[in-house]
Amino acid sequence: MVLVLARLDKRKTNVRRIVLIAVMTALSIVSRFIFAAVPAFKPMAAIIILTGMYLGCEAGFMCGALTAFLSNFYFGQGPWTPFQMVAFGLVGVTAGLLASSLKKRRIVLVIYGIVAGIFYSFFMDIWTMLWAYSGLNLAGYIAAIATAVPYTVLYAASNVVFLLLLERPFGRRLGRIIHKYRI
Amino acid sequence: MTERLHPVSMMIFFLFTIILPAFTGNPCFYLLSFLMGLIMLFNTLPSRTVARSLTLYIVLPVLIACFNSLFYHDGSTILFYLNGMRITFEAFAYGMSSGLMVNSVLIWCRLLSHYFTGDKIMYLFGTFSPKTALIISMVLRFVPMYREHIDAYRNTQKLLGIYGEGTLFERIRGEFKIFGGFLSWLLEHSMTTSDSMTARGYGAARRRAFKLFSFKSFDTVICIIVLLSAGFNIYCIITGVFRTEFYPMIIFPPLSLNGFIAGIMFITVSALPTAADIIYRIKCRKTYE
Repeated sequence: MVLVLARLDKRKTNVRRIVLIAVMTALSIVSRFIFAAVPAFKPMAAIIILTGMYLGCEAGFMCGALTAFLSNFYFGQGPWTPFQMVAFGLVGVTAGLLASSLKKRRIVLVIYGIVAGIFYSFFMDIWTMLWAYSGLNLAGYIAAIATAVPYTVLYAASNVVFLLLLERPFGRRLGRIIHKYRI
Repeated sequence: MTERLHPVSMMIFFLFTIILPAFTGNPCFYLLSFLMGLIMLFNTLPSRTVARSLTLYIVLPVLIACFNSLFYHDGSTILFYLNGMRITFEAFAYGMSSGLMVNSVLIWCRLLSHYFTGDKIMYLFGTFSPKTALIISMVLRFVPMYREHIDAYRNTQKLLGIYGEGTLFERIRGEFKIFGGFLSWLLEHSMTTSDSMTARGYGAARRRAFKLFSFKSFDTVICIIVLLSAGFNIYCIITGVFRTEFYPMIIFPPLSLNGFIAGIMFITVSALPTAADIIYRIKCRKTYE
């Protein structure tokens, strides 16, 4: 984490890029507010995936990690924050790596949305296990996954829904901005 | 007093109180840490708010204990059989103990998020990664701004009668229209922001952030005491002063002088900010009387 931040600082990045990262992070936090009433059904991951897709790996990571970190200031900070940061960060990075195929075919995007939802849920279950049993414990991990199944489904479903709904308007507008201002 | 601590010493303090009790593995220490956190919480938040969240802190260990005893059947003291599964006292006690640990970490995290405000985070990030600090500060500004903007946008559309009434499907479509318009504005606005940043000389030369906090004597005291007590506690953890066995039988560690001293040290550290707050308040009252 620290290494990524240090790398970002060393490189000479465009001001516009930095502002875009900040804007996308703020947007995903706001989206968490809009859907605050519905548990687990949030467009956050979808927005992070789109950021990774259109702005690259680093932006995806920053957006994911900072979304988790900063939105928890509104929703409650806790020992889960680092785990959320890493999970969302990885989701963003992977989206950046797969960018070209994600942009080309919608079915790949849908599959990635599902995989990202499942990954996020399983990653957070590692936290639950470490937490409840204060150590590695396979049975506890399986129990945690089993209890979190509805959440896993909700995460995956919300990712797919929001990715499908947001991909086109987002892609069009971000593409236009990137083209217009040469970012 | 506590909110005026230097971010570094505050970070050290909270790292100590959040992480250390979790590694002791001793339910008595968890309880101690939880109680100290509760005292500090009562000192910082209005007591009604704290009292309301007390139910959570009571229910949580019981829930975890029940969950643990349903999945774990080790232990020698069998309470009863449930569908042929052994429900043991040890598993229940272990659950209670982990629940207490969860409680203690939760309560200290809550205090952390209360005291560790945006300016302190900015300060800490600004020293080692100015760009991240910049992004964070922009995000913290953008979030309330966007919420206001979305509301304004929605109200305008409603007033014009473009959307707002009709079936659920139409309303959802309206929301998406708003979102689309908002998105266009957002991206253009971000470009304007970045242009204005460049125009004002961002990235033109090496700059340093204005230092908001200074390291006072109270910070030095806190740092020294926390580090001393952390060292002693870690020594105790390594030598197994706190080690408690749960399976197959609950074995508490023998009462020892080291464990006692470690407990006292923890109490001293975790009570320091509260004590400073109370002393400060008394002083203030005296000057007014």
